[in-house]
Amino acid sequence: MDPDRIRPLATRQAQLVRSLLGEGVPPAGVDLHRIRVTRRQLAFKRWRMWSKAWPALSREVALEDRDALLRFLMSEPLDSSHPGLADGFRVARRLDREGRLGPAGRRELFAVQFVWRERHGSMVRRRWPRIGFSAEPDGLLIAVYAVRAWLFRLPIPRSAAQPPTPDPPEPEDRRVSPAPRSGTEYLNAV
Amino acid sequence: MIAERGRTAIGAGWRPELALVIDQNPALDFLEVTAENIDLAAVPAALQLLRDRGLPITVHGLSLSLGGTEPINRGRIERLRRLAEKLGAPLVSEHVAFVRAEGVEVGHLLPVPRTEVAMDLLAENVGTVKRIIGRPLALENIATFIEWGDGELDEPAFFCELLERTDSLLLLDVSNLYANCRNHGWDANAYLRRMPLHRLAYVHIGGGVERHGLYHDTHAHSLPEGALNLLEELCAIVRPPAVMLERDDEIDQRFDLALELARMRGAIERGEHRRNGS
Repeated sequence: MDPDRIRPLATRQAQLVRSLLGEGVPPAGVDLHRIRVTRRQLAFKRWRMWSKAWPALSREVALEDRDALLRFLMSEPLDSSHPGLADGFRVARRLDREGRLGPAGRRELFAVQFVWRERHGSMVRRRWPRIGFSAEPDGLLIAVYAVRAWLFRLPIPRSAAQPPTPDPPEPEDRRVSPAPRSGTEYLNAV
Repeated sequence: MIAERGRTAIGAGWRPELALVIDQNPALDFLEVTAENIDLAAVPAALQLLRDRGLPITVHGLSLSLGGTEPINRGRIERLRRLAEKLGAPLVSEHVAFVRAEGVEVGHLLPVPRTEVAMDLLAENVGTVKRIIGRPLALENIATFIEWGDGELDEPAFFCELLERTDSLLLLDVSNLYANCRNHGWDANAYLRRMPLHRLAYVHIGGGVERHGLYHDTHAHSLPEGALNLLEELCAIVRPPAVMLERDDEIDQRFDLALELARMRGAIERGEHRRNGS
């Protein structure tokens, strides 16, 4: 189509998008209250998407951190290909930088980073085959990526010198035990 | 086109969280997958199994931005085409909406002003998509809080012209219609009677909730009576080839797929009785 003919429409669409992201005024004729409601809807939608893609991390996020994280996400461009994955990645890295990433979130970040990497603001799959390890206080995480990805946890027996803890008992036969279902399901479902 | 059975086919949107319950539900006649949620290189085995069992699967797109002024990304269309081919989809569907401007993604379906320029743009983009995917394309009405305020046509007139010009099918979302009627004061019955129902491919219905005086089409709540009444009204006018439940969130033990499908079927049957005068 003739660029001159669609330019006014392009300007108005861009104005609407910017106003939904909290920048500039809405286009003429569009109700400001409706813009605010849509903006709130967008924010919750992004929160839902990343929570779904990062179930362990989302359970670890403290209630009092949610507003700040939501504002942070809304200030970041949306990855249209893997929105939930990318937003969760941002949340995980931010918490990690601040030293507030919990053990489940750390494990999920390891699993995701094993298969995905960020390139120009978008998440792209890494090449396979890959194998990786991550040490945990009481075990070793082993990740394998060949077509699909698997995550295993190898428990390491505590030494006799360590004081007993109230943790649940480790598997009796000490076989490699699978990671929580959500992690592996997630890796292959995205 | 979706299921030729002489009756309205019943379907559901396939989601990974619903895979098991869908697999165990023999009442489903077809499924729909959201293209953006499927990895072309690793189509879920559960979905492949259903496909191999002969269940028709349609492909639904969210991100083409048919009403956007930026050129449509050929890669996105190509991806839709390949997925449709892989699943043997009888048709592909997308929204009359835009989702990005000046390279910025919104992650949300936004309405297109119903003007002549927007119509020409949509017609051109739809034509491009149809040529590449090589399958019938159905276009869906969206739910929106926002109206541009300077539309030259109302939505039924806009859809009539767009579908006629592009020879496309209609994917009518009765929940989106219900939401817009609630939020913009539209007359739902008049709307239904003026839509190009002779082009109806299938129907979406999903749950929602009212918050602060506005109705939100969430796909996370049970089907509201108002949307079911609209489905009944539609079935009193015409026999839809297929009707499909959309449920995206809050899929837990409280969600009963069979119950929601039964409520849909009830509305369809009530409408059919009215249409047949029985």
